[in-house]
Amino acid sequence: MKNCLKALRAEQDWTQAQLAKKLKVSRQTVNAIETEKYDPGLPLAFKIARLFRLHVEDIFECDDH
Amino acid sequence: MASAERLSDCPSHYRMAWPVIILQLAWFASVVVSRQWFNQGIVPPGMYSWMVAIVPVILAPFVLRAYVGYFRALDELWVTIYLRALAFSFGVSVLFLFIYPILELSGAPKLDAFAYAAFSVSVFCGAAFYCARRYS
Repeated sequence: MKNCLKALRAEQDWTQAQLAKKLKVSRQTVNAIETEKYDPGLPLAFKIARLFRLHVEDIFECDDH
Repeated sequence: MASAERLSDCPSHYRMAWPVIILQLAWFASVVVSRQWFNQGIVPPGMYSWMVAIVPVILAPFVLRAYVGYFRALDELWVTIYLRALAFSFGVSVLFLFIYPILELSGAPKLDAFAYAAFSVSVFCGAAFYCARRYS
């Protein structure tokens, strides 16, 4: 699944560790999502969307469509 | 101030893992030592043998509690990594458990239950390491 988390994080000038702290996940999780090696579950996806005041589909884009 | 934020509040898999690993190693050491003592006949029968045997038993619930607590504190990526590693190591262990006795009949060295358990744990650790590298 494609996502623009890295760009959104860069806009806020946050490090991966700072974003991880805000999301209460490990830095490895943020890195894995940004590099599209891992697709987050719904609760974490909504948490990310809420943090950036966006909709989930604004951040994550399914490859199938 | 962002710089003043304590990044240590960010959940770290490695930081949380160390107390569990140390407790597990302590338990494992108690198992190995008590087995060795029994096998070498160092422990006199009666009350003393029970005292040696009970140490790993007493430690076991603490190890389990620490492990479950650690697992609950993990975030979803690390839960995924460990579940994949568990699924893989379970499958490999079951296959090994059925296949190796046939090899023993052909002359391979005999293994006891302790060796099978050590094999399962080793496969789990290897699988977890491999999965963690895939996501990093």
